Amino acid sequence: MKSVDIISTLRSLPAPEPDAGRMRRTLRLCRAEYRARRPLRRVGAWELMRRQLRFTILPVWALQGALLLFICLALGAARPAEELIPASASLAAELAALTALPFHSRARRYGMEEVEAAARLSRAKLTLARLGAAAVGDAVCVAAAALLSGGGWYVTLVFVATPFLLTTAVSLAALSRAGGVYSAICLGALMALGYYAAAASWSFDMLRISPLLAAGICLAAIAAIAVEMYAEIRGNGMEKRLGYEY
Amino acid sequence: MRDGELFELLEAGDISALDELIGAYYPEILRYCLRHTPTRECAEDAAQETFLNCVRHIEAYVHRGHFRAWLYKIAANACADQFRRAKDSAEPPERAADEPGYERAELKADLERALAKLPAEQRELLLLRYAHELTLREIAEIRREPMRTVQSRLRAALKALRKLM
Amino acid sequence: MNIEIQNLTKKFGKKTAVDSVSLTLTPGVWGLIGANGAGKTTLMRMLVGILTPTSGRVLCDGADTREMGEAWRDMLGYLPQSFGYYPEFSVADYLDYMAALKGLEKKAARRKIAELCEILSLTRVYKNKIKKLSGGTQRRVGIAQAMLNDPRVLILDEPTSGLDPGERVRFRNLLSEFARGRIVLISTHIVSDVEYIAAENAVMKAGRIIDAGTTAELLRAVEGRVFTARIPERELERAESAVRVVSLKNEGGGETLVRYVAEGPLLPGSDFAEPRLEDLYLWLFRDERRQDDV
Repeated sequence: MKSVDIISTLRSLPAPEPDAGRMRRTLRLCRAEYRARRPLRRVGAWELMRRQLRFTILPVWALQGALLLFICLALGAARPAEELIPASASLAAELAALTALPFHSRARRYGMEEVEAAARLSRAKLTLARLGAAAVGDAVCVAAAALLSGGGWYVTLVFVATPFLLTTAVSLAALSRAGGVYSAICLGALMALGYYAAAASWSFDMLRISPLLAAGICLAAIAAIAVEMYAEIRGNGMEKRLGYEY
Repeated sequence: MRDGELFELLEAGDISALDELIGAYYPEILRYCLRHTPTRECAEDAAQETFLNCVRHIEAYVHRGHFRAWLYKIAANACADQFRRAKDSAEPPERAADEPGYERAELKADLERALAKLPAEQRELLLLRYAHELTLREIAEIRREPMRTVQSRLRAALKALRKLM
Repeated sequence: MNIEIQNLTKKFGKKTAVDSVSLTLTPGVWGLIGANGAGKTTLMRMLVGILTPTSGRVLCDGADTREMGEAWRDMLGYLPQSFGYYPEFSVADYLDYMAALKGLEKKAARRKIAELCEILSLTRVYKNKIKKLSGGTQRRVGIAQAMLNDPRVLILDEPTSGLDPGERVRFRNLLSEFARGRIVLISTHIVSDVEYIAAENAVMKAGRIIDAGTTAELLRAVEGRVFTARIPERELERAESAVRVVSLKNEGGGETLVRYVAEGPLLPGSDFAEPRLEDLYLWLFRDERRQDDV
């Protein structure tokens, strides 16, 4: 027998008429259920940010605000010694990279991860909101460092963007692999001091670095940061953190 | 009106959209339940439970597309529930709908007999695709399988049915 | 409403923490009883979506909870075994914060928080820092957060640890009332927590459900296996090594009333005793305890 015939017979198999009374009863019950149910209230991104403001966003911004003040004062003070401006700018940028670290993975450190993961608003949205807020603060601090350094795009690339991105990438990697926020901050601080020392001693030599190399380093750092952010948003490694071993 | 529009109305509190949604899907869900429960009464209970569960968890579904696939999944579970409740029923989960007074052509009777001989999975695939006219994508979602797997299994099921007829 | 757990399994490499668990939860209080490492916490974490099962699924009224996403989590209230909090949080801050994460509108959240603080006797410590509270009070704060969104499914992992007896009784009464039309799943070692309020229990051992049913149904496994015997104190050590002791009561006059579980009356002068859940627990997990003793 041909498939076409089988298919057409299957399509015309008995389709019993529903009982009208039963269908009406189903409808009536569904209407009652619909009226009685508790609708899921929509929570938009703005409301999410607003409700998180007091708890997680304002503390980061407060620290970044303090840093911004420091940047303005430090770079203002460095003006007379022009050769120190690039080094000061790089230090400011690296400190900006470290400001969000104390707030990173707090849920993990204080045993809030489980209860937050089980709450209605997805951890991805929440993490994204927090990271977004920290990124805004970082952007303001880095922009201030760039502007106050007074140099052109290349000075900004070598003495602001590169140290900022490198420090962010290395400290985030240290945080997720070595586990401790203090070790990540220490590592970041060491990098900051190292870069500052290099910039203070060899700023002219550093300005001879090929822009392509500098840009390449920045892109690699951005890629590394993206990997860490993705893992953070996805909540990767949760099982290990809960004590399960493979 | 399309499902998406009906859901938007439902979300906005327009309960008449519920009437339209249920009116549109009740016959086919009942038909599905008739094949997956022991009696007509069980099938009607399962269909009712399907729509009630659907309403209870309407937000779980909203905006996700493939409403039919979701509805059929709930229906499958409602039918399994009915079987559990009808503990004294010894009949297998899938059986031909048996409507008294309904005249069948000989071909349809042969088809029903052949269907009954097929493995449950193959029978289910053929009925979902051709009797219920679900798309391959919807079937893939119901069965949580890739579309390609559904396609090849459907081909094999049709071949097996052809051999039996 | 019902929650159907279908063949839920969780493996970590070669170790199977939860082994093909199937259970249907209906409205009421459910006790999940088992020793440490039985898989209760892992099972609960899969139910709330924190862990992804290796296989199997959880259905809520026929819909797969993994596909329900936010809608499922909105139905849930969860209290994990270990209660964490940010060090700067007061009780008010913590509950406000959790209310925001649960998507509650501000005014409604405030009303609910006030109501729960009243019920859980947290009103006096509302402004206090959580780190300064006792373990029992912290636990009550954890229970309050679990109930903030008026969940239809409440999952509590060892909720009464750290609570004093009076608090336990109040908590049991609260749960009994709360469970009307809702599903409450409690995992506990303290079987008396669920004995009087659980409509049904499930017993877990080595990742599997070994028995499930009402308390009366479960106790059939230890019917005729629970005894009491009055023995001299000098015989106590020997008795403890010979039988599985449930409890000891000093009767005075140098005698101790021993309650124990065994296949038959092993101590002289034994009487049959009405079985309780605690007896069942010790009977089912007698081998594990023996290993601990060794």
